[in-house]
Amino acid sequence: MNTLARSERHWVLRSRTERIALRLPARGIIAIGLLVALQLAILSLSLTLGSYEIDLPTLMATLSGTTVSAAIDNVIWQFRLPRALVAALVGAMMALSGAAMQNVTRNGLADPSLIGISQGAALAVVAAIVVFPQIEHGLRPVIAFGGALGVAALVQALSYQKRGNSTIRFILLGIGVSAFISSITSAMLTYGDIDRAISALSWLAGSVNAATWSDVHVLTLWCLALAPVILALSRVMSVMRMGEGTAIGLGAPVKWARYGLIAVGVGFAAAATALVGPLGFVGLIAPHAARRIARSGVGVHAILTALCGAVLVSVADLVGRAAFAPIQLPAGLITSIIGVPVFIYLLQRAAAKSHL
Amino acid sequence: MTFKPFLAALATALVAGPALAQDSQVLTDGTGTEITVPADPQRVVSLHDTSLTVALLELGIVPVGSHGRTPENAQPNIRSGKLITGYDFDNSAIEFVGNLPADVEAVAALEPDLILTTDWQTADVGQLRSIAPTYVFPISTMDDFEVYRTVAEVTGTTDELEKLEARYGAQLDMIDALVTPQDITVSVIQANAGELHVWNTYGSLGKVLRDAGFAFPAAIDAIEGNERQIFSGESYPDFDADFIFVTYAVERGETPAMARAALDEVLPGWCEVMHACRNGQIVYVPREIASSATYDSLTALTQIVASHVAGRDYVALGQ
Repeated sequence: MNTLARSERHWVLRSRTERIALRLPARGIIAIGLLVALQLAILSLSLTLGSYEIDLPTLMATLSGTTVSAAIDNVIWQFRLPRALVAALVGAMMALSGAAMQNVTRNGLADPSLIGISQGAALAVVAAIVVFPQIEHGLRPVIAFGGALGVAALVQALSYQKRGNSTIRFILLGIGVSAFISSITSAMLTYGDIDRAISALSWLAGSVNAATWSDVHVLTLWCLALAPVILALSRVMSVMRMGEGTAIGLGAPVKWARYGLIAVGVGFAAAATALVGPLGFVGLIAPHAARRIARSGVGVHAILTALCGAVLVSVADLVGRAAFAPIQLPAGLITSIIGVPVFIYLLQRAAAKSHL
Repeated sequence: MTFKPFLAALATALVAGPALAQDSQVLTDGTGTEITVPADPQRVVSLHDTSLTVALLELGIVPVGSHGRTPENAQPNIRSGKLITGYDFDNSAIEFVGNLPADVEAVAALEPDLILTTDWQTADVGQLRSIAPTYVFPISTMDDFEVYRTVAEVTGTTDELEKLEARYGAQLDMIDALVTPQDITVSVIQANAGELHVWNTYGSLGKVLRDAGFAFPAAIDAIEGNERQIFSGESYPDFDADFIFVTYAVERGETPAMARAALDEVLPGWCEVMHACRNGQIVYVPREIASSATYDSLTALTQIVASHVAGRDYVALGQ
């Protein structure tokens, strides 16, 4: 039987044979519980609110499997539920991508847009919309994924040095390539057909509006494939926080961990961006927010980060969908509106603490 | 006796069968998808105001819901709706269902029997198809009036379209009876943010001018397809003609004076360079009318051409 020992700040979970023991930060675990509860509350609210008015008894009946009407079944099961799940999954993935990038670059400002992942996806999709309008809508995720991976590989290849990888070189090349790609995208939007440019701008704003069960399945598979990798790398990541030299000295496989983290970061962001477009600030804010909520080890921090990202995008999508309906504000716009003040607040709070 | 119900059912099927067949039609939309649409749709939702809603209204169908624009500090509106058809959200039963993307729940709440959308609209087609038969118009690769004709086919209003086409044909004949269009050169230009914008055929205005048979400068004829092309101020003389049409956006609060100022921004003193401007042969046309793909716009434009080109003396280019 498992046993749980409590100290003031940590809970220690031991297996019956005591061969496995986990020392869990109490505040971190409580925060995970609260964030899960908050996420479930937002999910419930997402199922309740919308342009199609559905009262609570009807909602409960539909969720329990009773068909009140085919239209209501459609709205709940095909529109609201997959959309809410995709918002949560995409938020978690963008957040974990940011956490991976911040860890590998040891730069708190790193996020998927820093190394051109979002810009690569954006360029590929805008080119498809503006230059090749005959390409089908359904291929956009594939195109975006190709663009994101292509740019990530380019930045990685350009920053590769035989003498070892330089974080600064990686970041600067990422910023440079991102700026170059963004300028090509802007040129296409400026000189392309106006109707196509407007359609492309709508995608660029980042929206979960077209979420389907197929998207839920795809994103879940990506999460199932990549989340264990990031958790498995958490020990190396915690050592890498002390610097590359120290980590190598302690025997950590830094080189492979770096490749692993970049691959995971790119994979998370590319998959999410491919389906919903670029979502700004999530990868930047969520890891910081998780750190402020509870100081913890890398593993718990990764879970908190994923939950913060999920909550942020879920709230953004709910507000964007329901607050001004039938006008649909893209979640990317709301994450930016929410994200910028929160980020400034977090920075100021950190600065105030450091003065004390 | 036991055969009676069977015979009754057979008779009903024979009588009702042809009627049922006529109640719907199978069409292939712009995505290559076969869809079954009602022959006489009663609750149509349109997800593009200028390309679809305005055409529907002109064909006699008032949609139950429409996409619209949401200008800053203003109520949602159907672009060109009031100006061309008299209809808008504030004076009709047409429900606003959002912009880009449209709100699929708002569409579902209207319980449509037919949804018309375009490849420009970002609302998911799969979700729309789960609400009602959805026809997708590839407007980014279709001529405006090809879209119009298809709207008529999809909604079973081709008889109405034939009358509108007959009216337009008579209007072109009127111009042809007044002048010899082939002997008169025309061009349509527009300035924006310090750049000169030119199309091979500018919307409905371009259609009227080309259908009537007017001649265009070689630089305009050389524009392939119908993409907008951007030129510098040095290119002004290439677009000179007996008559130059300049457009301005009424719904954005623009005036002919603002259109002139925009042209001046591209090349200060442009009017002195252009024969048409020096001789007062510039015709200013509201952009909403010039670009709207409707037969009411074609009527207005044929009248403008009849009065401003055919109905006056002018100094020919080169004189």
